[in-house]
Amino acid sequence: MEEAAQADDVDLGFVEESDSYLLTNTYFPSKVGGRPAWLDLENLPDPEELRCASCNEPCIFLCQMYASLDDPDTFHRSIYVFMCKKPACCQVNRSDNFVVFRSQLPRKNRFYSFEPPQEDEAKAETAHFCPLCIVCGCKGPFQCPKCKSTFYCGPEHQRLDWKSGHRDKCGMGKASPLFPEYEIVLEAEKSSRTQEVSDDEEQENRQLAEYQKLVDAGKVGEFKDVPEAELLKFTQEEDETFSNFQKIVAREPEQILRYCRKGQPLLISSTNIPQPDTIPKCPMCGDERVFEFQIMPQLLNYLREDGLALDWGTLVIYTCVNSCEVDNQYVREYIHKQDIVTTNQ
Amino acid sequence: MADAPSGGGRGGFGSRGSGRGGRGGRGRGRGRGRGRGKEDQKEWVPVTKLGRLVRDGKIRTLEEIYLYSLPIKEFEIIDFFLGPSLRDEVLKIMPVQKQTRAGQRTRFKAFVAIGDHNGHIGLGVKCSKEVATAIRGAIILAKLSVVPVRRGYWGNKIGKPHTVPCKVTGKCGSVSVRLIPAPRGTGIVSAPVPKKLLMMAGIEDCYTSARGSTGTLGNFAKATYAAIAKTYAYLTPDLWKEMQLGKTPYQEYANFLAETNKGISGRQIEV
Repeated sequence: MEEAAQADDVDLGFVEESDSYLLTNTYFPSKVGGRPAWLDLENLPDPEELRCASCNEPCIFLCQMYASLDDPDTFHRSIYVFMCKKPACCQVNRSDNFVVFRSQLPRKNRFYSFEPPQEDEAKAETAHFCPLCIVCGCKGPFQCPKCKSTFYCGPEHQRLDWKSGHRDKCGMGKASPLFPEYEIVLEAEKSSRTQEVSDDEEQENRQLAEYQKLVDAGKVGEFKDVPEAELLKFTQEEDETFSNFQKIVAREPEQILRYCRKGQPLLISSTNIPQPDTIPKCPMCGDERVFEFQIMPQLLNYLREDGLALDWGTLVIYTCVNSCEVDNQYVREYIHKQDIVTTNQ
Repeated sequence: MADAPSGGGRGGFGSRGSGRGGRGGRGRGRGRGRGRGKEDQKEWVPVTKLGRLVRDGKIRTLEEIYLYSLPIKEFEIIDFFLGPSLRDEVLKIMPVQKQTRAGQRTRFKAFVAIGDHNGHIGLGVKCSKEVATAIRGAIILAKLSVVPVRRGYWGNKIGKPHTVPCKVTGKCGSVSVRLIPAPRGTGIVSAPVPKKLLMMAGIEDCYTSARGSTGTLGNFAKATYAAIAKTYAYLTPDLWKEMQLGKTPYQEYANFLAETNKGISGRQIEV
């Protein structure tokens, strides 16, 4: 079977556990879960815009991608994906419960420094080695018995913290609707072309010779004289799109994201393919939207969601080809959800 | 082409720019052996919902999946349940030729049957430029098409089931094929392909009776297959006892979790 043509420079995203401080907006992260690290800090989207189209409840942050382009206007550029995870809103092949926003800033802006941020390793190391008391910052060998995630140096500070607000916040972690937080690390996908044998004819001759050897050894199967049609009646139809998807994913099975601006998405099913006429044009500048990146179903393994309604085949995100901007607002972009057809044909 | 996302330093300080020099080295190294030669088994990362349920151990047997007719798209699911007991056998390798402007292109088509001689059988076919790739691909497709075969006794219920549980008929076109239980030692009296499949499924003895224009090989084979599939559809007396209508694995766990997790994903219990 021929391999589907893919743009060669696809970047693959993987999740990695990371220190929380590195996932704040100073470091322009690409991340999954937790709280969004906003880029433009002033003109944030209104809560009304972040509501699920089906149930009108607030959406939860799923992931964000820091994807800058060459223009000076888009020196900083982030794309945010929000979703509503209620089972009733997660419909097959419909993306109503998703919201995507894009934000961008030039290098010189009033929120961030002109120079790249320096990672303060020293600060990280000390906090890592042993837990610190949340009140005074000293060594905290005691922990809150209820939530087990807050540490104290002694009963005095524990009482103090409890009175001044921990009582209300305690245990919030478990009831938090947010997804677990990870960093997205990008790597270039190894091009498959380099692995293919270049000389087709020579390879074919080798294969024919190998086949002949098998025939002579009597290893071509006991049904070598049975017509092919009879055997075919016992076989299932192969889902070629899905097989191709699996073949490409198999090179790096843990990938959760594929980035290839203006490339082609890797489809998981032959139904519900995003057609150029179904992708709406950019509301700001009226130009078309192009494929930017897609989220893979492997991400669901890391979200630790117990509910079974949360499922997708692949989430394909399309953004304005000009990456246009109006008044430093967060611009809505289009997302297409493709599900794996689960009914038996 | 795409705007070279991995271009260093061009636009942006983040993970794809160069502002993360110290990070790049640490990138994906933690806890995974990278760059090690070709590792034999990369751990399976499921892509479908069924795959995730299986990997988390929420589905106990393969039969649950069959019971609800959920399509299996990942062969690792079959490996998970039946892995070590599956035996594969190459039934046929044939070269197929395609005419192109530059002459003929030869590819190889491989038919592989897979079964555990204990009630499961599958047949896969794959075409590829290389013989080995075709065989590998056919094995995977055979695993995806594994179906259960029910076995029963001819007479006394002594020893293990060895034949079809009852007379079942499959029909396709004008051909109707009837599978009839046979006493031990009869062997399978049938056309070569279904005989092979029945053997690999664990049926040792069976009579077949065919009617209609059995010369139409396609219909004959399909009818036999339909008959085998009916072994599980037939309501035998031992199944007369009324059984509670079960819930699909998806529903079963959704209810359980909706009850224990208060308030996160909303109580959406379907009746």
